[in-house]
Amino acid sequence: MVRISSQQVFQSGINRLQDLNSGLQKTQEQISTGKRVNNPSDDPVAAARILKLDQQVAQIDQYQRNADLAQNRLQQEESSLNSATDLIQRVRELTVQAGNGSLSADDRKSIAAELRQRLGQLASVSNTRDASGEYIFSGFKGNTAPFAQNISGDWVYQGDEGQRSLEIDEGVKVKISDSGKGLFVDVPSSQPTFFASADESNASGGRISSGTVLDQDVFNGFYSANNDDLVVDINDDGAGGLNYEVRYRSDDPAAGGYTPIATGTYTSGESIRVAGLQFEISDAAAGDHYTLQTSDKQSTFTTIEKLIYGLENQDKMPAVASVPAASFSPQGDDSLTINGVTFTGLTTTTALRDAINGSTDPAFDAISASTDVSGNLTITSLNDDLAFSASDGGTGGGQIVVNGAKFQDLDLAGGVTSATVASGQQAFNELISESLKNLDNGQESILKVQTELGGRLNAVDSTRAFLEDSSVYTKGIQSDLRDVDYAEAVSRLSFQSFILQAAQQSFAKVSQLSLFDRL
Amino acid sequence: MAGLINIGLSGILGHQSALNTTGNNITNANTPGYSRQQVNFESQSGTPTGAGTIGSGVTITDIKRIASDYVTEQVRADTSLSSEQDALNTELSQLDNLLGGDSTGLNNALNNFFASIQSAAEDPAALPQRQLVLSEAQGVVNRFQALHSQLVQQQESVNSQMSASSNDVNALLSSVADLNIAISKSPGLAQGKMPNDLLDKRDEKLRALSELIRVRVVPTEGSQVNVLMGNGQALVVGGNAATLGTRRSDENPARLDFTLTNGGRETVVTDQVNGGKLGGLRQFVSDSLDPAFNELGRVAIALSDQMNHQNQIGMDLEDQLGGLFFSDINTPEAQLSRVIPNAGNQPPNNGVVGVEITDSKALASGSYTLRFSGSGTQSYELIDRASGKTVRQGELPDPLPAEISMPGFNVRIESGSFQDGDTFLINPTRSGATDIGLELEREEDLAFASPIKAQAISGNAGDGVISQGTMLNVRNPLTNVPLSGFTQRGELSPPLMVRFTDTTTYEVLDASDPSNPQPLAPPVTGNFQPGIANKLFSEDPSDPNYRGFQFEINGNPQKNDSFLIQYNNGGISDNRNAQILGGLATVNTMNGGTQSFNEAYGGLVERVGVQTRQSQLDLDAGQALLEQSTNQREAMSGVNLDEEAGRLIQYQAAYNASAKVMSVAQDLFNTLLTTFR
Repeated sequence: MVRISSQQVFQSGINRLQDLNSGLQKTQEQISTGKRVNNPSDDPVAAARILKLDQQVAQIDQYQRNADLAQNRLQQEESSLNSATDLIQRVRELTVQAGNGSLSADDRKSIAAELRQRLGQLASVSNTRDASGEYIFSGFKGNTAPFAQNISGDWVYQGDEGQRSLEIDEGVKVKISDSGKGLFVDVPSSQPTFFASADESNASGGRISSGTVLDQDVFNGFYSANNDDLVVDINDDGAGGLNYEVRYRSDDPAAGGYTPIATGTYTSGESIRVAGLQFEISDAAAGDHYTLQTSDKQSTFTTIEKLIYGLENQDKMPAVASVPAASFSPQGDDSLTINGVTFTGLTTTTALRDAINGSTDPAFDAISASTDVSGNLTITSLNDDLAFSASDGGTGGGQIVVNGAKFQDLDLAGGVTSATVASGQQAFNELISESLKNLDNGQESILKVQTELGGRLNAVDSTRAFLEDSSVYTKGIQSDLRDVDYAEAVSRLSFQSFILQAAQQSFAKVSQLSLFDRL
Repeated sequence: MAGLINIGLSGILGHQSALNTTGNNITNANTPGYSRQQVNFESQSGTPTGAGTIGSGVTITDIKRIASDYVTEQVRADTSLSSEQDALNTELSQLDNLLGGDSTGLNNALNNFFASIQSAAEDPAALPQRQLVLSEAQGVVNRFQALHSQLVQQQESVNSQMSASSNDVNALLSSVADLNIAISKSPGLAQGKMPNDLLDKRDEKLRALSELIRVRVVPTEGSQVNVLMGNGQALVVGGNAATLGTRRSDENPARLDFTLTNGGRETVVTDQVNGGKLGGLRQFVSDSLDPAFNELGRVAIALSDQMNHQNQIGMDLEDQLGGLFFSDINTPEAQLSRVIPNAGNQPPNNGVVGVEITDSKALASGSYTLRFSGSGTQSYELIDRASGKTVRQGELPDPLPAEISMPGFNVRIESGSFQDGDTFLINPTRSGATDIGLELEREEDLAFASPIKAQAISGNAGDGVISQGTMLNVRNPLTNVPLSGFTQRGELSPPLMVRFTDTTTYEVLDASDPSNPQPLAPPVTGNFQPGIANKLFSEDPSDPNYRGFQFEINGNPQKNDSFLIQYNNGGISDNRNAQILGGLATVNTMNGGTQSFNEAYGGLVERVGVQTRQSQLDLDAGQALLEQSTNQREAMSGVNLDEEAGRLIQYQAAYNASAKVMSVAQDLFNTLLTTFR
């Protein structure tokens, strides 16, 4: 028989009641907080996983917010690009309209006026800002307007190639911006062209005009032979004046050992012609550098600017070449080729005139020739340019000169054997057709980005769906680990309170039993 | 007749004593430590007659205290165990609640902080977003510091509990000593008459002592006991009690050492204090609180280091390279604060020792002891305090400084002289959570952009594309010298141009003057494989072509195609660095690249949680054991009122009967008197 002390009866009764109370209290806490794990010690392993899952849920929430923000940005960009495409489409329509041969000069000017409006609109679309006032197409330089007019009034890109991206899921980054350079500047051009700029390091503040390709054929020949950029150096000539020197960028003036492409005396604002190009440099000082980036790309803005320039300034004048009688003394074996038709053995301008007028070659349909009293020959082409080339048959002393060329006059004795005399009509026609091609290219480069935008929006959508799934899934695991199973907890609670009641009742009964009551 | 009266009287007196004893038992039923007493009756020796011996009544030989030394010892042992677990569990639960609480823990603050950076990455120029990042960063700093100061408070609370409890110990020790004397002087001891109440009192004092510290009780002459600590240090010898005291530890002023003063001689006995509340508190400090300090500090150091590095290789809203995000982890003060010289070091005690964090990725959260030995050529050893093993040893160079390289940190012995036996406590991470501070003051200083960018020159004929570049560093990580490209404020010196000399070769040029790019000194050229991503520059800091950044060129560049690499002036919309900053939330930047900040903190929470749970289980087990042994004692020594009621009736009846015997004797006497009247 085990001996029991009276203290034991009470103490163990009280201990049991306390155990039961604390168990009940724990269950009650679980039910009232809804959590199974209230302190890490309740289930240390689960607690550590819950912390990790907390972080995951927070991360997923953040990704979901990022996905929404990315979508907003992409949609804003998309709508800006839609406006830009519409504008370019309208410009294209105007270009087609301008190409109509029956338009008068005034009509063309009024089309040019509308084009100016559209150009301004295109600039303002490409300078769209986001909600916090940053330019969306200027790359990383959000405070710099992507397009602004330079000193000569041309729209130039001032941003960079930066592209912002946003993480919308672990390791999934979506690009949320596009630089204006790719959209509007790096547009393939139908013909090689160039972009002139003054170096940032120039101290003088000298300006370079945007320039023109004076003779596309000459420039094309130069460009295909060497795609290096050109640099114009302004140097002191040692006599108080300035020289200019044109070289390839890869040539090092400090090291020397190369032949400059062209040199000359520099006069502020005077045209410099080299390799079929023409440009003007104003207010330069010694030590200045100006870069001519030769390129087969042209900004959409430049395309429209050139078009406006052409509509306003390009007269539809016929091509007129003059052959002075005084310097027309070919030998019998010298030949002169005009638009592919070769004339040989003609030693006087009148003979040449008659040969031209008498030619039945279809190329000569709109070409006529006339001489004045001194025998000076004038050749007129109503539509096409006049392309001359002369060749020396071998007998020395002959001379043929053709004046009126757009880049360099023909001078057989001087060694210049070819020249092109421009026809305003052909230049205009070429301008229209090239503009149309370039505008199409411009639209295409926007379309390319729009297609990409669609892809990115799709990616955002599908990522968002995935994020929602994984959010539900993660929260599910988190809930499994942390949250209380109410059915189980409530039945545990009622079971525990039942036991507590029973313990209380039995304790009260047992503790009342005492022999002293019977004495 | 006189015999009968005497017999009756002996019965009355005997049972009166028995009734008194029973009454004493009943009234002491609830007295702690009371052992029930039992009266031993014995018949008095009789008078021999011819017919045999006639008994002469009853006598009480002994009032016996029912107790067992073995059971008492068991109760003491179980009390020590259960009190130890109770103290440990109480402290651990507090730590557990602190670290794991939603509002008190670190992880919410960390999550909010990184979420704010990721939000800001969407619109890097927006000042309100940047402001939010700063305030969330301040929130993280506050959280670290609050946690650290809570840990310090808990350390202080443990210290004050220790000194209060050692006062209690002393009171108990002197009571035991006094009781020893009282017991040895108690009359009748020699005849085996024990002073029952004094024994009970002494046992109860010893039990109360066991609640505070585990002791060994050894009986000795004159029913005295000696009380010893675990390894034999005497606390009480006979009537002589030693004094347990506390004082700041020489080695680690944050902690208390226990001292034992006996006869004016003071000994440090910290390691012998085991079991009981004091042992539980000591265990809590060394197994849980110190690691918590170190681990929390480690997270703070890693967070500061990583964020600082990433912010420093970024570019702020004003085109400047970023500065420190959180406070510098290697300021001279911080380096020195990680080392505590032992207060008992030999004079001149002027050694200057610091700890420099070299790689927060590899940093572990241990504590070390640096010990010097020998005179003349000094040798040192670095001992891991957790394992007690020597991890580094060597000889001090002359002249100083010396560096002891460990994973993630260097112990730097700067100057001073060291004596044989000098020690230094090395805590690389302990103060991390209080040293952290927010260095960034203005929203503009958040370096969300990357300082470099690249672009293709418009005139390029090929379809080569250059990436926007990845920043690696602005300093050479091997030498910590700023890289030449980033020595000028707000520019890349020099800006670079990559020009293809061929479709498969390129040269890198100084593009300070883009119209006249010059070869670098020494010239840099490279080979290009068309169609795949080609990396420009080295990512190996020992390579002369290491520039702190890398670019990739893809596609098919043609001869003379050029790409410009420039400083990202005006790049306010660039969010590259912000993304990397925000991404640090999930990157495994700790523990040798296996843990993120959150995981490292989660590891601490888990560790404390496991310890708390374990101590809860141990406490339950300890309490069950204590209850068992207490029951055992109660079963033997405890008072059962029903039993005593029974005894009361029994002795009362005997008392009544004895009185009747005397009454009979009187009657007999009266009969005799009347007979002779």
